[in-house]
Amino acid sequence: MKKYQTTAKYKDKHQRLSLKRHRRQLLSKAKRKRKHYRQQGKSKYERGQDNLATGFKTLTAPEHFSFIEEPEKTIKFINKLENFYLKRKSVFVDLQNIKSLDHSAVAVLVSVMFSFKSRNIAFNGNFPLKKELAKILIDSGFFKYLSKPIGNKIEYTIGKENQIFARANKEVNSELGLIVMAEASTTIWGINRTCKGLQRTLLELMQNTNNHADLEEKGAKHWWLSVNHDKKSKKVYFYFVDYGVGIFESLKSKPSGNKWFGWFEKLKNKLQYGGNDEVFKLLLDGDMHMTITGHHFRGKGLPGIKEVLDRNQISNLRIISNNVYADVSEEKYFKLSNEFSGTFVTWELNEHNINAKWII
Amino acid sequence: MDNIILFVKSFSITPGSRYKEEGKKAHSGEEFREVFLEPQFEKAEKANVKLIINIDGTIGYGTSWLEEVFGGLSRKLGKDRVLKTLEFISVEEPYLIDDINQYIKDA
Repeated sequence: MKKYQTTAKYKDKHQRLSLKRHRRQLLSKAKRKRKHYRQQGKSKYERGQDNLATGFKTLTAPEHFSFIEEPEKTIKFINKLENFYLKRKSVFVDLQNIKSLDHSAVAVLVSVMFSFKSRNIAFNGNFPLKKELAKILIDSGFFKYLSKPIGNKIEYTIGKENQIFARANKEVNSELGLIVMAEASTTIWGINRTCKGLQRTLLELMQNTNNHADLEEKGAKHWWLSVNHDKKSKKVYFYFVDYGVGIFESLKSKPSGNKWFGWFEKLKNKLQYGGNDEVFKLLLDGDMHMTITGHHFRGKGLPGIKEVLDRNQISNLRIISNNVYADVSEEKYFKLSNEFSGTFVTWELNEHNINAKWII
Repeated sequence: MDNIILFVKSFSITPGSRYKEEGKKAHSGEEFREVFLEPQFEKAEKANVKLIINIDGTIGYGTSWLEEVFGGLSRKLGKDRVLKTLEFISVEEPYLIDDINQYIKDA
């Protein structure tokens, strides 16, 4: 009987498979060579970092990573992240060479990471080389959340001085203010104090996200709150962010039955330049009604927060939404060169802010 | 019969959202209006006395909560009836009384 290995059928099959194997081996070799070439001159640590980012799209964070100090660069970075998110691409955030970092950026970073992980898109990153910056990131819980699967919420941890808190289902949670207030006031005044302006600010922002962040549906977007205590200067900093449509897009898109329908355009026509920065000032001052109808309107929502600032119940209020940066405390409104799809609000509580006896 | 006094803090020290559906821990204005305010308002009207709302003793208010409670009552019963029967007390945030009266008138 003729051996199977010597039949023509076997020989054809064997030759085909060998060629395939050979092609694969050549490809692997070329890949190894390319990798070796790339890694030449790099330290063992750097080679490790390269391996960590394999299979990810690497995105380098802005050198001065701060939503407040460098809004345009940070927005550009967020927009790139959003692009990857929409395309479901895994992202590796390179933070190694950043020169400065603040909590506004950490709040944004943690919230973006949460969004990626909640859609099961891989998200990774490295440490800043500067130790003090790495510490800010570690204290925020960024790496803790990075390394484990997360559900649809991050709970507020009592007693943790620097943390980010996110509420699932995009709800208004009025009880959160009680814990946050107790801890913030203890940092500032050494005892629990009632800060009604803080509660008003939190409620207006949560309500805003719940009602206006999505054009189609109420309660469709998450909000994020980061609370950071500075015991030395007796200040507590708050950062609130949502990735909704932003204030101006929300105003522009009111349906025909809504009382705000068409106001945005009417208002712009009445203004000198008609820019969003001008509109924002009117909106915050509660003068939008005055401009359109001739009657003053008792501020609800954002004007309600401005009232709190004017009463000295909070300080240093800054808002970024769409293409406007508003330093409300300094009454400076800037037009940005790019658009942030969402709303970012930061404010602080300090020992000069109005407060009262603890209510419980 | 004496005037009736209603303390918001007996409902919650953390009043929150406008509508019930906006959060499980939101202590909404809609809930306060339906469960606390409207029955007391009816009682006060029947007895021809004032319903005095004490808004102190909470950790603060969002504008939507206040508007839904008092503006909402005004939309339901008419501003004249509401303004005739309701009165407000606040030592902690007296400026809110003006806001509330405006919400009632604007509703």
